[in-house]
Amino acid sequence: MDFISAIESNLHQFYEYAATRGDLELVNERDFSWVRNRRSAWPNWIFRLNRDLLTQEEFIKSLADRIINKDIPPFLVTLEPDNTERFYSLALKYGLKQINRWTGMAISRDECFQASDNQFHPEIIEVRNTDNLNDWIKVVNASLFNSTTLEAEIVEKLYRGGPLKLYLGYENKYPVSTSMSFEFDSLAGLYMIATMESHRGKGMGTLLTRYAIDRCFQNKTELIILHASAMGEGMYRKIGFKEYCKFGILWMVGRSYR
Amino acid sequence: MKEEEILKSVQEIFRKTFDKPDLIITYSMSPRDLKKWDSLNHVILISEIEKVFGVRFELQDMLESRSVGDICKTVLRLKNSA
Repeated sequence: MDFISAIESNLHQFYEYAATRGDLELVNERDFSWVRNRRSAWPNWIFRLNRDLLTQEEFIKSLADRIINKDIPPFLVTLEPDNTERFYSLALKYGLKQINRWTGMAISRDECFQASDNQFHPEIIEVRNTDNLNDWIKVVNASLFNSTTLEAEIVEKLYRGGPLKLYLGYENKYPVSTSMSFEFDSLAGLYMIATMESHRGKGMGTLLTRYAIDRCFQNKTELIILHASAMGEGMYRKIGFKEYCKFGILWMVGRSYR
Repeated sequence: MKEEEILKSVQEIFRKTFDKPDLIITYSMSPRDLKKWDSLNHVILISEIEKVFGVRFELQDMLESRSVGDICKTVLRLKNSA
């Protein structure tokens, strides 16, 4: 599997896992899949889109019509097609606005020279009980979602005994930073890497990322991927991640996931 | 268009978007100061600003406009470059 396919497939598997384990709606259609959680803002995505169709007006229009009819969620994540300009301008024509752009990045076990297998970080824990989980959710909601949109119930269903591992960093006993790994075969994806705004710039994000990387490479993981926001991209490059592709995040502005 | 005029119009958009008819905004106001100003309401806000001023925020503009002052400066730049 090439790196771009790995970066894309782990994201899709992550959403499928979240939908299946979280008892959510998951529909695999011919040209895309979608997951919907009517109780919470996450996960509500149209994903696994056929990239060949992203620059075809009829396809974009039909997606928009179905969103308006509430058949499918109003959020879309996709690997960008070659002709990004046409894609984004067509999407905008039908009300789908680009609200973010992620950089698809990866690091292999061989490239991760500085990973230290036995490094001990007293301020980082793996989430194993409800108190830790609530702290983890509080940090993610405050720093990634800006409000209480990630519900505890679904995260609890996902992390117990599965391929998801949640990590939580404390500073002076306060939970301030998070990361999550999703391991699938020899591929792991890192998600929900977040630091409270008041504690940014102190290296906590780097520490939580490195911690998750170390734990993954201690298992059978050979390649780690992530989807970086513009804010985190520089930090991941310093750790050793390399860029392979771009993802567009679109929203039909104002449309609710409900 | 002057910065003060932009601020006045932006204030009306804030009042409508956040359903706060008496809201007074300042250049330094950011999402920290307004509970409902989350990432999705930010997009709604920018979309309204685009409509009212007839400008188009690029993705970078949208992500970097994290205070009222940033928004007003971006509107001014886009209006002047139109």
